[in-house]
Amino acid sequence: MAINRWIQSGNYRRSYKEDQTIFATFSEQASLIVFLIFLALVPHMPFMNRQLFRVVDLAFIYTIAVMGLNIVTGYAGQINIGQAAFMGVGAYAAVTITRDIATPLFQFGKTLPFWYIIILLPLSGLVAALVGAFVGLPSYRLKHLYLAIATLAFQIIFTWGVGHSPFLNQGGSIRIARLDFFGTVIKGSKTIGPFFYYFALIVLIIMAIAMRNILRSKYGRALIAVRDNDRAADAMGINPGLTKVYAFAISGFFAGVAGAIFALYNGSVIVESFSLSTSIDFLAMAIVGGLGTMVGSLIGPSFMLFLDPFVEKFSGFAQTIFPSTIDVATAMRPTIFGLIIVLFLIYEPRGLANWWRLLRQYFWRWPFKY
Amino acid sequence: MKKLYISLALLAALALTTAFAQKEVVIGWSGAVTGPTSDAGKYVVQGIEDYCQYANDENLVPGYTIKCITRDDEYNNDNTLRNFESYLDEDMVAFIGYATGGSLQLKVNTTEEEVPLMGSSLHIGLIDSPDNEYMFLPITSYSEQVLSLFEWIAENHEGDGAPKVAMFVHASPFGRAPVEDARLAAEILGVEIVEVQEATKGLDYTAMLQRWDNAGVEYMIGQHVQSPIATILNSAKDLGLLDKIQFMGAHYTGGTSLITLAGDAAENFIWSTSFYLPDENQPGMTLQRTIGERYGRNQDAIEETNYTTGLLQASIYIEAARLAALSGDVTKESFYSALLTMNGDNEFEPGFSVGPVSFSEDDHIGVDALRLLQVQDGKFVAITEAFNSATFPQVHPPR
Amino acid sequence: MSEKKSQLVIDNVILSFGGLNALTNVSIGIESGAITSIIGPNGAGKTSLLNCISGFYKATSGSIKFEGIELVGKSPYQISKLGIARAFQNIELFSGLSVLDNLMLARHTHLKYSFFESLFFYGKCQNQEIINREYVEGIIDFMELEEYRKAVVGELSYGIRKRVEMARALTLDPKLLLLDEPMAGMNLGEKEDIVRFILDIKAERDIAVVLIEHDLGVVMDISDYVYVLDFGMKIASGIPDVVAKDPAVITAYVGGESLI
Repeated sequence: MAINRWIQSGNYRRSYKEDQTIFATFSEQASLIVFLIFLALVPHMPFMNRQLFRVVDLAFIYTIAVMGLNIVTGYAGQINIGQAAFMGVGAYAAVTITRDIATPLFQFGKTLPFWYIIILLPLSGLVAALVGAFVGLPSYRLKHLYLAIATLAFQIIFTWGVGHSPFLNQGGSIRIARLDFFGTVIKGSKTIGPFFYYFALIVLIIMAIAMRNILRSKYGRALIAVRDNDRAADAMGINPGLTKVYAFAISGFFAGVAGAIFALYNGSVIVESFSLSTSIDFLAMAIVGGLGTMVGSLIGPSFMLFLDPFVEKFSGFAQTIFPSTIDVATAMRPTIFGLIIVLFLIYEPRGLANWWRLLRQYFWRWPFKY
Repeated sequence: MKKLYISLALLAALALTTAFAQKEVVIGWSGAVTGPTSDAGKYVVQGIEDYCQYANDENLVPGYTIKCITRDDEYNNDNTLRNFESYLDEDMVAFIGYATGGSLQLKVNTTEEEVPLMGSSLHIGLIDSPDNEYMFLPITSYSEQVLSLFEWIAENHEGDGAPKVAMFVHASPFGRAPVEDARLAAEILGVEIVEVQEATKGLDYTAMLQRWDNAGVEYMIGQHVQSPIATILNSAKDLGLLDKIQFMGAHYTGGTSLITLAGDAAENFIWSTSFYLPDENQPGMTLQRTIGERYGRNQDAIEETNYTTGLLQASIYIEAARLAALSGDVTKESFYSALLTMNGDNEFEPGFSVGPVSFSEDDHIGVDALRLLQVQDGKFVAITEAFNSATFPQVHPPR
Repeated sequence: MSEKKSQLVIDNVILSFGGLNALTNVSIGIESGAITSIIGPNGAGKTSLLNCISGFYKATSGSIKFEGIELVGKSPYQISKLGIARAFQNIELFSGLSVLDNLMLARHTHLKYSFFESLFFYGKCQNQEIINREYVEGIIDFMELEEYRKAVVGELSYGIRKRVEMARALTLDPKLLLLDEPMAGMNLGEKEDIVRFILDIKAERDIAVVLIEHDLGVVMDISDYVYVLDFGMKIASGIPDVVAKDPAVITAYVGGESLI
């Protein structure tokens, strides 16, 4: 009997190879392709302005960093309160490699040729991965909150260290040249917005595919094993310490790539972009999206970043109700974001990804109820 | 169908009003109305909004409406950049910045978008190359303010040996801005910098003060914001160090709030700034009072130097718009060139500061002079005339 | 039983926790391809001994050699790679994963592809996954877990989870299988299933089994050799019939009467 893979309500796979596929049905694959086409068309929509481009571009860049955070925190179960610092390592690596090595070596002028990013992004990621592995070393001995404190310590050391390195301009802005995309210099928000939309999106897709593949391979399973039961993982021939360290390294790589794109996007790097509060924002994005789910790290950052302008408007409105002596507006934003995180932790600890799962199941079974 | 006609009619009406409306000059501001440093930012934004309204009410730029868009960025760079770009969508001609970090990061963007940036941050690095063509400071830089304090120490120091100074700076680019220049100047002036203490905010500075006391520190120069300085002053009072150490600070350490927060302990504190104080009998201060009262601001705002800051920033840009309007359309380009001609006969003297505002191709600092003020009987009193730091051009020539 | 033929040689092992000896001078030899049971009253040190073998505890002194390789000082994952698998007394499965994923995890060291190959999940990586999936399916078949293949472990019944625990240890493709009370808390039918599996493991797969079990009836029935521990010391050893009649064992267990 031929199986219609467009509509199927159960698992009809016939080989182990088929069972490895990511998508259950052709219709899911098709809807993903439609969604990607939609994403590709978005920059041409009339409503896209500079502000929206910035929100979306930043969402893409942060998504890459949050994917990494989800690998170490969601899948490997190690709390990481320093993801912004890893992103900072990537950004500073990109800037210093360009300034001190690539520019003299390749005789770059005022712009960077586009092919250079093929070297720069992986290299920045690699530097951040090495730092990530180093910061992850205490996970051989430390667990849970103690490890979280170690990552927090890294965040603090990073901010302090950059602030005290003349080499890094003491955290003040360091310039990185703009890209030259086959003759077009990517500068000015009119071109930067759409260009980095596609650029970050493509990198994001590549990273997402890599993440998906890692997760369905033995390396991904090992992460989950260490999270669920590191004693048993040990007995399965998995080295729990090493697994945690490489989880940190992968996470660092993602953050590093995000940091390098962030640096190219802004044209300069400043230490304040990689502060503790950004790290906590990343954690919040991962939690709201859904820890330990691939989809969660894709939805979380966009949700939080798009929410921000609304909260801003709302807190401005709230301030008009209260007398000006009470600074409600200042309290409003952190309160609302705090509240969202707490509500998610209590009522939907699996995050937005769970809503997505339920939605997907609904369509999968349609027209049946179950 | 009826609804459709009504909405069409409304649309048409809207189109007509915009067509016949006065031309607009869009000035964007992004700063901390909420979040960190919002106790300063909320007054700056009031000053900007009020001066804009005043300019429109008084028709300061004939034929044009000044549209000041102000948006909160919670002291977050990402938000500052987002606001900046959203103003570009509204054809902004000039941008008023706030945080040091955000302004530093925007240097690239100002060059690429050809939109000038001037703001509350007085970091000298903002107008250093590269990407400094469109960057301006409304008043003297932190570096010059701090150096003027060093010069005062060198001149007024009594006793043998080099005067011993401790610096207390914010742990950020904002705080570190003048440190490098200060070290160079200290060497020239024969002043010893014992320690540069970085801090964000602390609750207790007793240990730090005792350490300084043991090291024989005679002067403290702060490059920080008011509240920690007030805490330091209070601790110093408790330790009986107010007579031993002379406390001083750059622009954001002083002002009325410092006296409110520190009380008696603020006595003798020396402050370096380019602004007049609201209680001084100066035309600008009278204007500040008039504007504040006209637009319903409370007494706190009217007596705030940060309110003056906002007024000054808006007034400089509006003056540039006026100059640009004299010779044609106000566009991004004409606005920028008008700003650069603001010298000689075109010098602008709104009376908010101790000197006139002047800009040119080589001079991106608006008010070039500053004064030192000291707290005497609970009030800041000028102890010098308006002057320029002599060492500043030596250690930091235009870059 | 001669010591030379033994696959695993435990020699004079002492395990002490701050002055308290959990194991005192225990010497045991385990023959390949046989079922060896370790019995003893509660607190006799049976599980401690397994922990020493599998590396969770480090013996204070003495040596444990597996096929001539010293195990003392090695980590559990290293010992696991040498071919010693362990099923835990208190089920230690990855409760959030499916049965299939739990078993695939046990293939970790057998999946021979590098991290970079995993990024693309194509070619070698995919082949390796399929080959090992086939192996896992063999174990699923062997342990009769077909209907639970895709079920999340946390949602299964106790008896099934015990079986999955054993299946996972078996998936490691070990030379020596350590089973810590695989029948605890089971009813007669389930126990019979497990006994059948243990006998099949020995017969079909030629894997040596070390069994810790309280049900002496089962132990005496299926074991090739029995060691008896009490208060951390070996008090008797031999084939089941001999051990059952050993006066020291009888005293330790019931204080006089015969065991069976």
